[in-house]
Parts: sequence; C-alpha cells; structure tokens
Amino acid sequence: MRETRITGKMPVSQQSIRMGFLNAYLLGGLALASVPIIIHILNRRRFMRLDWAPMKYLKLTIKQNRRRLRIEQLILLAMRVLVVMLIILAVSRPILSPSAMGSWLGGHGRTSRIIIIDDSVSMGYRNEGRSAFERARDAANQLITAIGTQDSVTVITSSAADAPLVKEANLEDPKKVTSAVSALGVSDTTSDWPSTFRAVDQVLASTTFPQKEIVVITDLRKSGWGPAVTETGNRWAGQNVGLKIVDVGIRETANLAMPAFELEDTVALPGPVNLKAQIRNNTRSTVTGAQALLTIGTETRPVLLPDLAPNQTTDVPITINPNKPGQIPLRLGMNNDAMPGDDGRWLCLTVRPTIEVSMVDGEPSAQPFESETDFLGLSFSVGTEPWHLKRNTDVEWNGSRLGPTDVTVLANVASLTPERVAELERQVSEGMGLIIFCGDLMDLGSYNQRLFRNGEGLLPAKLDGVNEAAVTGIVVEAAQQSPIEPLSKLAPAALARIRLSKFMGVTVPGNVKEARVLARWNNSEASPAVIEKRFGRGRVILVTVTADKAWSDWPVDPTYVLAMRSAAMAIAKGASQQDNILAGQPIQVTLDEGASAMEQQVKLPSGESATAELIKPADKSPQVIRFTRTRNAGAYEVSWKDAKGQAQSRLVCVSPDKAESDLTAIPEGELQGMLGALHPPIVHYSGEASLAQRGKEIWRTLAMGLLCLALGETVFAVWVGRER
Amino acid sequence: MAESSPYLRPEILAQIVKLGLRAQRVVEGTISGLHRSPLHGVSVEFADYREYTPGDDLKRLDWRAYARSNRHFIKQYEEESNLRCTILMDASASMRYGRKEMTKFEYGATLAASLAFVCVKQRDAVGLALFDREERTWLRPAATQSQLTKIIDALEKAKPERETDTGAVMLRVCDQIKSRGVVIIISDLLCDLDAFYAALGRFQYSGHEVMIMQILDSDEIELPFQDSVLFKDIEGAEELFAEPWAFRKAYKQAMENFIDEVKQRCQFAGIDHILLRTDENLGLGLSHYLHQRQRGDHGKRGGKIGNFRG
Repeated sequence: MRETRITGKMPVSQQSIRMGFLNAYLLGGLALASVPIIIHILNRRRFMRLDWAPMKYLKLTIKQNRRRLRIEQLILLAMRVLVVMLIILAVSRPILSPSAMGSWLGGHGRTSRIIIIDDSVSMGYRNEGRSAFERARDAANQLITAIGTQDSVTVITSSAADAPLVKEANLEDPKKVTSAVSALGVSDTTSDWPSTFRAVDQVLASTTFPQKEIVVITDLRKSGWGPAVTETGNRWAGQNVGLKIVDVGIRETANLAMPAFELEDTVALPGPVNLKAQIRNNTRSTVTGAQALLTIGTETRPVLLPDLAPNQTTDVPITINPNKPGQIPLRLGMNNDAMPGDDGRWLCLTVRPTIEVSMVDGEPSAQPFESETDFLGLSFSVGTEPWHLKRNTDVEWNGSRLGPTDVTVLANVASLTPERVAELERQVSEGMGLIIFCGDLMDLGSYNQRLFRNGEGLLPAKLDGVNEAAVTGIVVEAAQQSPIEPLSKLAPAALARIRLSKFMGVTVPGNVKEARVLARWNNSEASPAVIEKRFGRGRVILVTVTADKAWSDWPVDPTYVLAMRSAAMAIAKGASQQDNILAGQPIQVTLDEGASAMEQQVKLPSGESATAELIKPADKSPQVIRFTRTRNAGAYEVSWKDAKGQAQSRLVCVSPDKAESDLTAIPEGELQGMLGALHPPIVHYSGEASLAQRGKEIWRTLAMGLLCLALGETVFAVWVGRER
Repeated sequence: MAESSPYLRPEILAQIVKLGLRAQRVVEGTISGLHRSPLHGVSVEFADYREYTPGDDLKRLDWRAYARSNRHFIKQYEEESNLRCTILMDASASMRYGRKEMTKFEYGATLAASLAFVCVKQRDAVGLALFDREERTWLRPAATQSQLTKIIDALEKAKPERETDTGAVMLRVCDQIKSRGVVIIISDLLCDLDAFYAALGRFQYSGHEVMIMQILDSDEIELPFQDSVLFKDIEGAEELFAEPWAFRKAYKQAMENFIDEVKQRCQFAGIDHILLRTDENLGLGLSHYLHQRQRGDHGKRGGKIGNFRG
C-alpha cells in the first residue's frame, strides 16, 4: 500500500474530503450489491402455497408484527447489500484525500487558476524511465482536465514565466490546452522562484475572477528557492491567493555533472588556448574510463576523462589551437546519465587578434622616457604577445568618450570627473582591467571621494599621502591567482634590489573583501605596494609608486616588465560576458557606439529563426540587440545589418546553470517557512495513479468495517430468525 | 356398507363401544335406563335385551329371561330411547385442511361415525346435520341400524368446499330439534364466534346438552413451516405472503388465546369442549373423554354462555 504524504495547512473551506480508487475498474463489481436483493426477491418467489383455514388469526398476527417485520427485513437486506458493497469497495482500494486535486479544484466560486510547470534542468532527471518533467506534464494535464468550464486557467513554465503558454483560457475544450502542455519539453534554465513569482504577480493582476489559485508543479530541488519568496508568500496569503505544490521529483541525487567549461587563459589569442572543464561525480560509484566529446565548430574529438571517485570534482585541462581570430562555438559533452541537462556545456570562444591597452598619461613629455608612461609602453612593446597600445594624455582622455579596451592604465592622472568615474566603473564591472599608478600630480581628495568612496569605488585602498621614506626591495605575497604571480617565482634577490624614494601611503580597509594586497614594500610597516580589487567582472590594480622613475627605479628593473605584462594579461578583459550566458538569461549584443542595426534576427540552436528586439537607449549609450527566448542550451547566432546595409553577426553560447546540478531537495519545513503565511499543501506525485487519487488508502478500515458488519449481520439474522 | 366405510374404524370402535355415550342431564326419552327421562312413554316394538343396570325400572325387567338364564335383562324397544343425539358436523371448506394422514373433515367424520355407531349400539337415537353456510344434510335422530348407514353415507358423500356460517346453521338446526337431547358439534370453530356463542346459548335455552368437539390440525396450532408460505384463504380468495418463523410464537399465542377463550366460555356454560388434533389418536382421545363422562366429571351445569365476561 502506498500512502501519499500531504503536508501543509489548508483553508477550512478547502478541506472537503474526496475519494478515489486505485482499482477503479473493480467498482463495476458494485453491481453485485444487488445480489442480496435478487436473492431476496428469488426467495420470495420460492414459497409454499397453502390453503389456510385460520386466516383470521394469521392476519391478526401479521398485522401486529408487520411494521417490525418490514423494518427487520429492510435492515437485514441493507446489511447484506452493504457487506457486498464493502467487499467491492475494499478491493477497489479507495483513497481518501483531503487535498486531492479534485478537492483543490472543487467549486469555491469561479476561480482564476494558474498552473506553473517547473521546466528547469533538474526536471529532466529520469527515474524508472520517466523524467520528473514528464510526470509534471501528466499532473498538469490531469489538473487541466479536472478544472471546470466555469474557471479560467493560465499555464506558465518557470523558464518563461512572463510569457504564459496559455493565458486566462476557459476550458470548454481542455484538449487544446493539454496538447500544448504535452508538447512542452524540459529546458536548460535554472529555476528562480522569486523571479517566477514576481512574473506570476503580473499575471495575477490581470486575471478575471476574484478567487485565485496557483498550483506549482516542481521537483522541489533546493536550487531556486530563497528567502525572497517570503514577501510574495505573505502578500498572496493576505490577498487570499491559494498556493498548492505538486512534488513530482524523487529524492535520488546520483548525477555526473559538468559544472564548468571555460577559458583558462584570460584572453584567447591565435595559437594554443587553454580551456578547463570541471567534472563532478555525485554518484555512488567511481567513474572510470569515461570520455567526453569536444565539438569545435563542426569538428569533434574525444577527450579522455580522469577516473573520478564518488563526490569528487576534477578539472580537465583541454588545449585547442585556433589559428585565426574570430568566434568559435565549442561544446563539451559527456554520455547522458540520469540527468542529461548538465552533462555538457557550450563555450563561445572569442579569439582576439590583439590585447588593447589604453594608457592615460598624467605627466606627458616630449622628451624620451620623461613621460609618465614611457617605461610602461616599453614593457608592452617587447615580446610576442600582440599588445595594441593606445596612449592619451589625461586631458585628451577626459575629453573623449571611452572606447572599448581590454586594459586601461591611469598613470599619475590628477583627477577624474564623476562622469568619467562612472564610465570606468561600468567598463570595469563588465570585465575591463584597470591599473592605477600613483604620482605627485594626483588629487588625493578627489581620488578618495570619487574612486575610493569608502571602499565602494574602484580604488582598492584609501590614499593617505606620499611617504618619502626610502625603501629597498619588494615582497610578493602568496596569493592565489595573483596577477603578479610570476614575480613570486623569481629569486628574492631579484626583487630586493628595487629602490624607491617615495611611495603612496595607503590604507586597505579590512571590511572590503574584494581588496587584497599582492605585494608589499620591504619596510618595517610592510606598506602595500600592489593592491588588487575585484569590481564586477573586472579587476583594478593599484601600484603605490609612479609608472616612471620619479619615485623608484623599479621601471628600469626587468621585474617591472614582467610584473606589468603579467598583471595586464591577467586583468585584461577576456571573453565578453555577452558571448557566454546561462539558459534563461537574455542575449544582449551591445553595438559599437553610434552604430545602429536593422533586420536583427537570431538563429536558434534548433535551426529556427526569430526576430530579436532592438533597444535604443534615450541617452547616447550604444544600442543593444536583445533576445530573451534562450530556454535551451546551444549556440545562438545573432545577425543584423548595420547602417550601411552590411551583414553583421555575433555568436552567443548558452549553457545550463551549474546550480541545477545540485539535486539536494529542499526540506518541506524549510519551504513552508520560506513561503511565510501561505502554508501551501504539498502533494507528492510519482505518476503511478491519478493525481486526484493521492491520499490515504482506507481498505483496512473498510475491511474492519466489513468484519464488524458481517458479524452484526449474522447476529442480527439469528435474532430476526428466532421464533417470535 | 357401514362396516366397510373408512369412517368406521374397528380400532376406534373397540375402544369406545363399551363405554357408551351417556347423557349427563335429563333427556326426553321414553324409557328409563341409561338416561334419565322426564317421560313415561310406552313401548311399541321389542328390539333387544340389555343387561340390567342399577336404576333401571324394575317394571322393564324380563323375568322370563331371568328364569332362563338367572341373569337380569331389561327389554328394549324401537323408538324408545331416552337419548336423542344430534351430531352437527361442520363440512365447510376450512375442514378440508390436512397435510398428513387425515384432513380435519375426515377426522371429524370418523368421530361422528364412531359416536353414531355408539349411539345406535346402545339403541339411542342419533341424527346428523352436515352444514357449511347451510344445512346440506339433515337426518332426524333415529336409533335404527339403517340410520347409521344413512349417516355414514351422508358423511362419505359430503364435500367440504364452501364457506361456513356455523352460528346461523346451528340456530336453524336448534329449531328443528323438538325434544331435549344431546347435541354434538364437530367443527374447527374457525367461524364467527359471536354467532356461534349465540347459537350455543339457544341450545342451552332449549335444554340440550351440548358437546363441542373442536378439531384442529397441528399445523394450524403450531405453524411449523420453515419456508416462506403463500397462505391462501381456504374459504375465500385472499392471499398472504409470510415467513412464518418471524411471527410463529405470536401466532401460536393467538391460537392459544382462541382455544382458551372457547374452552373458558364452554366451561362457564357447562358445555363439554374437547380439542382434538388430527395427529392425535382419535380412539384414545374419545375413549378418554367418554370415560370421563361415565365418571361424571363432565356435564356440570353452568351459567348462560351469553353472560360470560372473560
């Protein structure tokens, strides 16, 4: 016997008990309940005919006992009919379900019903040949079939909550809606219930009837739920919006996943490019001899995977060798396991021809090596890396718009306007690298006010003032993924010879987690020499000496070249975040400043084409091509025509969110707590039987009743049959 | 003919013939002897001797026979019996019932024939009235052998198939009986009892000694059926479906009340009431009764039956 767990509180008005049957086909046997009646009738036909003389006394007796006899006969007959009915009912395995769908959908006046189907990656988890999403479709179709024509129904998928599959439909022909639901497939998106509920809020606002009921069909994975739903839950409770949850998931979490597939180098240039894939084994057995397939454009090659113990994660290094700049779609996929959705990932590799470095010189000079950035430029000019340098004076730089660049270097720039600071913050947050050299010309107050902003700004540390104490040597801190990590591999003597006459005294705030000291001056205070701060996707490096020889002889030391090149390479803007997104996120292609687009199209992984939206900001910001239907992983090709009518295109790769690989279920108590005052009932549905039949089987109770009734019938029959 | 009738059974007759039927009251006969008579009639034709019994008129003693045999014999003459016995035999359809050896009518007819035989044997006049809702046969009392034959013949020819109206018939028969005598009513008494009691009162008033032989089948008393039964009124068209076990006790009580009521009324009026069941040995029951009469256990005069207040 299977007992369905139902949790949560229900409004009293919804607690009508409904009955269903697991073996409903046996209910036809209820016709057998007529057997006692037939036997009774047949018995009345089997009688002895007798010519009787003392009719007077017979009639007198019968008249006196007729009422009693009739009642006794009826009771006995009813008991016998009931015995047969109880037998049939018991073998039909009835289920009482106070929260079955039937009662959920029972008449409480006309109701606007919203069914939310979770179509996130984890819903693709298969068990016993069926995925949770297939069970969700079944459950949704059962609900739709059960909803009466008096109500309206809206069907929403979690991957596109703002675009309902069916909106406010009256179900005179439920097949139209059920066929639409049946055609749904699981997406590669992650569930994000707070945002889904916000989208449902908008749907609720446009519904017709005052009664509103929401049913969420999900696998109840922890991923996607968060405290942000509490506010919505409390509000819905206050608005008398009903919420019910159908759990179609199983508690199995065995899964082999690929949480990451990314560029290991900061920037991909023609030549060897290092990639890194991450494999996570969440199964109970060691994965041995597995391999993945790497698809580079149209070519495919196998990648051997290392043996992986249970609950272990490993990085798999992969090197490819693109020979020309451009965008290359890469896909690394493993053999499908129980959850195919996270067995592979896409990567749009943008092979750059050069690395753009924009140097802003705060103290330009016509004399060789007298400018603030001369030594810096020299550092980038040597070697094989294709650096593309662009020098501006601070005056020129402040007077022009910021163009796209990979690294910006501010060298002894006196001050920045608030607008320029805002632009820098935007670009750094999008991935650009920023290196700030100190100098005598710097307006410290302006820097601290606009760039440091009490730790909120770009500047990693507060500038205290110029410290004129002479120091010899620099000490590199042991920091992971340090942009100046190559310095730590040098002999300490090589760094000990650096002499400086001044340095900028700074205070690194302890409450700013993103800031860290990468190197310190070799003085008693261990004053910070190089400080890093992550800002958005970008990184900022503050060097507390000048970029030229004004404060130190470091620029003429070979270690300076090594430090600057490695730092610039490390923080240079890598692949555009717009090129690799997660399923469900919108594709956004930002056009060049002043450029416009027309006939913008998106070619989907399925081969279909769709029109993309062109966003034209009111200010002078670049136009953006936007496309939101990214529920499936794959390579999306955005194409448009520029102002000259020339065709342009951009590749964007969409991958599933690694958060979906975490199959931990959310405890029901925790979920109930998150949903605040709603207290939704939760029905667990495994697809074995009708959703409306979920509940408690009562055949044991019926069997007990049957036993008692049979006993009672026997006793009563003996009592009735006694001589009277 | 009489000897070969199924209603004359030797084993029964053997048990009762020596007991005889004695009137307990004064009956209007012409000779003294067995029955006390208010009349002093004259003899007409010698019929037979019978042994002297104390109380016989010594004038009737045949001294010649005494001289020959040294025994005392009384001379008897035709038409001179003191006892005039009239048997009222119910021949209605209700008497037809009987699932076993004998129907009630057969049992009653056997009883009637046996009593008639006894009467004729003791040279008493016996008559028969066969009735249902009317008198179907009326034989005036006579003490001849041929009367017995007539009675048996009438009983054999009777077909109990009509409704009964015992009270009315008894009234008419009472009117036809001119002299006081013994009236034996053989019936199941499944009739209008009020009319029946009224008729009994008339018989009492006329000075008759009445004996009621109530004959019932054991089925009618016990209601022993185990199956469902469709009871059809034997004297009518009414039908009733019933499961007897459900009210057997109540029915038996009702029948018991009915019999008790008749018995009490008869007892009050000094009327003999004998309940005979068709499955009982008739000879035994009858001899037992006659024996009791001989001992004078019966025949106590009682009140008027109409005055009975149960």
